[in-house]
Amino acid sequence: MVYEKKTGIFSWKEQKKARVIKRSVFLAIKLKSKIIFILITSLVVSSTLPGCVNRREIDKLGLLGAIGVDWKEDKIILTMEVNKPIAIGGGAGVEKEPFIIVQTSGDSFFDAIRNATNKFDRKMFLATARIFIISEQAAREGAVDFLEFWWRDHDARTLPDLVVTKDGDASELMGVSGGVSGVPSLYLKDLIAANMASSKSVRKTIFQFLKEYHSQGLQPTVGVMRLNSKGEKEGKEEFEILFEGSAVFLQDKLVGYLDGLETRSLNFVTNKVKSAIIVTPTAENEKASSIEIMKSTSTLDVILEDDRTLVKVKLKIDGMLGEQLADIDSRQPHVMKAIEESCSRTVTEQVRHVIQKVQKEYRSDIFGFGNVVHRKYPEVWKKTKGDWNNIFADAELMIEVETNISRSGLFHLPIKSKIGK
Amino acid sequence: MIAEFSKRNSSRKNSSRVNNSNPTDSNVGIDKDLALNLTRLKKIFGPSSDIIYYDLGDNTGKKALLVYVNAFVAKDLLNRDILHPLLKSNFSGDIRKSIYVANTLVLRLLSQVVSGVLEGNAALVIEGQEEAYLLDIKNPVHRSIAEPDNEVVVRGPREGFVESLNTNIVLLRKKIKSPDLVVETQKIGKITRTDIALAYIQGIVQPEVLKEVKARLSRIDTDSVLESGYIEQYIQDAEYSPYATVGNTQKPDVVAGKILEGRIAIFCDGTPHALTVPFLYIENLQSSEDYYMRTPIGSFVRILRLLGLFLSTLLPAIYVALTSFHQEMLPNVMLISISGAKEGIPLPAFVEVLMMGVLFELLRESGTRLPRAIGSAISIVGALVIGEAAVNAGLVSAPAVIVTAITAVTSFILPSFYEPMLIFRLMFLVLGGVMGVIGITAGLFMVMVYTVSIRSFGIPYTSSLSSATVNNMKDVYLRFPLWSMKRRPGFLAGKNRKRRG
Repeated sequence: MVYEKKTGIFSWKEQKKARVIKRSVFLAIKLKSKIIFILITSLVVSSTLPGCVNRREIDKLGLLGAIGVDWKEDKIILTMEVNKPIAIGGGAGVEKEPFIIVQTSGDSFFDAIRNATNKFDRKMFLATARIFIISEQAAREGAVDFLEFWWRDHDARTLPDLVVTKDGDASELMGVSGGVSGVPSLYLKDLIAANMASSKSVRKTIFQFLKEYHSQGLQPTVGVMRLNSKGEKEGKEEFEILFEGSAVFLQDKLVGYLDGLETRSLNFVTNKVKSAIIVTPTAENEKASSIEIMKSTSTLDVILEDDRTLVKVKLKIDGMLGEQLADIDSRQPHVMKAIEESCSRTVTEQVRHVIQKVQKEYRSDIFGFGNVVHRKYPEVWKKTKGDWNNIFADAELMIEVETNISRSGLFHLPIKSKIGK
Repeated sequence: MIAEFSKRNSSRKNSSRVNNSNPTDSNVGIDKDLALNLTRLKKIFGPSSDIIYYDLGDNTGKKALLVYVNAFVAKDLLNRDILHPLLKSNFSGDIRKSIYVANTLVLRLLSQVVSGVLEGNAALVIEGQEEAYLLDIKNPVHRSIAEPDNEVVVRGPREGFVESLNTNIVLLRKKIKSPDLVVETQKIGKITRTDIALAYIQGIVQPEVLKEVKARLSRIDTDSVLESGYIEQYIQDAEYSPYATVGNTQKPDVVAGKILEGRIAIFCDGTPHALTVPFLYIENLQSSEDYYMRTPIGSFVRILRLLGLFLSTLLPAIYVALTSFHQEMLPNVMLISISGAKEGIPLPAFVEVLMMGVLFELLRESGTRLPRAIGSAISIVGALVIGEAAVNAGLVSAPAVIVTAITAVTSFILPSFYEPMLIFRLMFLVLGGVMGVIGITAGLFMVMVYTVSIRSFGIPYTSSLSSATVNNMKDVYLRFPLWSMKRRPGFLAGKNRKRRG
């Protein structure tokens, strides 16, 4: 039909019709192409603009596992454990170690991290870091300075556990795995989590540390890691990591350490004990009983009088008799009461020891009595908060512990018991 | 009663036929001269060899002509109930008294004879009479009632619609034995003259919706209707939308359930798919089996479907967004294993997932149109060669294959929503690949706004989701016990709202 029309003679009507069709088709194409042009342009623009800024393929990242900070001769030295995903998740025969240790140095933290690109093929992805280790030397210098970049950067998170070394550099701890996991950072993270069962250390993320740093009524404490030799094996010395005790800070500066038992007492006061084993002498022959803490609640109080300050700790402990060597019948109420009192005495002594040690040696209110004063005497606090750590150091101490043992495991009597025979 | 009904039917048929037929022969009456009628009919039908003109004569010598389409009428009925009694009687008087046919119409126009014959009736034209008789002895040519392949149920009726309109309406009437069930038929298509039937329940249907449906049907101007899809496309609301605003089903129980909620069913002759309108978003998530199963199980399945909807539309986009923009949102160990699997893969995650998604659609499309025997071969090739080999060869990472597989599996949880989900999945994938989670969120917002803006025959598409009355929410995320659904959905039903009590 169309071809016929083209060759044949047009009537004026047909000509007009053809013109109208032609024009409308042309207009439609013009309009359509305009719309398509706008669509394509906006698509291209929108795909390039936000895309190039943030887009990064997952296999181009250097997945940071742990980072250790040392401060030597006015240079910052970073030791980073980067995970090799192919060796961890890829399967296919794990021949090599699943991690690489990268050590860089620089004038500042950011500088040092960026310097890693001089020798390492991938950009560090900070969000996956699990452990942040600060060496003793750096911590004594002031730990917060090393966290400024970490706090500011958009990739880095404040979730890694913060740890301070004792008697050594942070770089020595990197790449050591003494546990089941072949990835040191996973080993360290699991170690920290496992340690909560004994409450002999403190677990602080960077965020919690900075929160405590900014709080005036509570000084920061951080868990402590230390390299421990396991002895030689096939001519090579093998190491493991000890995670026990805590580091005491005054403001952002490390002032000293507490050992494991002292840290547990600290945790009793700060209400952080989830689980712990108290070994306490019982009965006339002083044989040991072990009490597993199920729940512990502490109440702090401060009494300010004209010329003296009294800090009070009240502990309520719910426990379970986990091990009993003395030949006594724990079914008898007076026997159980004796065990409870003994436990209370033991805890009281331990808590008194740690508070007095901190008062005398470190003069840092790591227990949070300042916060109590803030709540109880807000007016006084305004005046004394600058000098609170000194006031605390000279304060008198009162400790009250109440133990309640409700269960005794599967047995009432020790195995060797002669009662009733 | 039957006669009355057929008369009512015939009058409607007549009027529509007058409108649709060719004006040149629409007004030509039946002549007393039999030979003239024969010539005219032969002219209209042309040289078609399957039109039979059968000459009859009675014992008085009076002549008559029987016209029908060969094999379209039941020959045994023709012989036994028409020819046998006719040849024994004479042709004068009312012929209906001597033959045994139920639906016999008296016609005066030649055009009526023509269309009647083309519908499978036999026409009897008698010499000396200006009236012809249309005898309904159609030979039902259709396949037997079977279970529909694409709406398989574990519990529930197995029967499905067939290609015959009358059978389909019978199937529906068997479900709803109420005089309030109204079936209105009309013809659409200038050449095909396809029978279209509207079925609804008087009192339950909303009169405005019914009026709108009828108006839209009457506006259809086309020469052919070969499938109910033609009707759907002529009357639907959102033409360029991924969402369907007209539902379709092959099962009589589903149609019965829908028209009992106040919807209207549209049957099309020659199609085993009945259309239901208005079609709302929530119907994609509902299935007839929800109501046959016990309440907790029905509700659980409903929640599973919502999960399927979420996974199928968003999983690829979320995977791409997380692995190429927000790696920090992945748990550490998962990040390491995904990263390990991606090590050495040449393509970025976005391209990988897009490629696998398109590949799956290709496989699915080639699988559906193939005979079943070859279909399984295709799936083996697809699963083994493309899935397994591509991962082993290091062309595609395992997580991308897993994501595609999960998406594919979950997308079949909502069969009626497959195509919209496919389009949205691609859209979200591009948004997630270009802008990350921000893109996905923006896309979700746009989709939500768009979905709310759609209407189906005047009813907002998201009615049951947005009108948060207790009554309407009883059949959305959870399927409440049947006894507690005392009223029909308020946005659909007309005057008669009560289901029970």
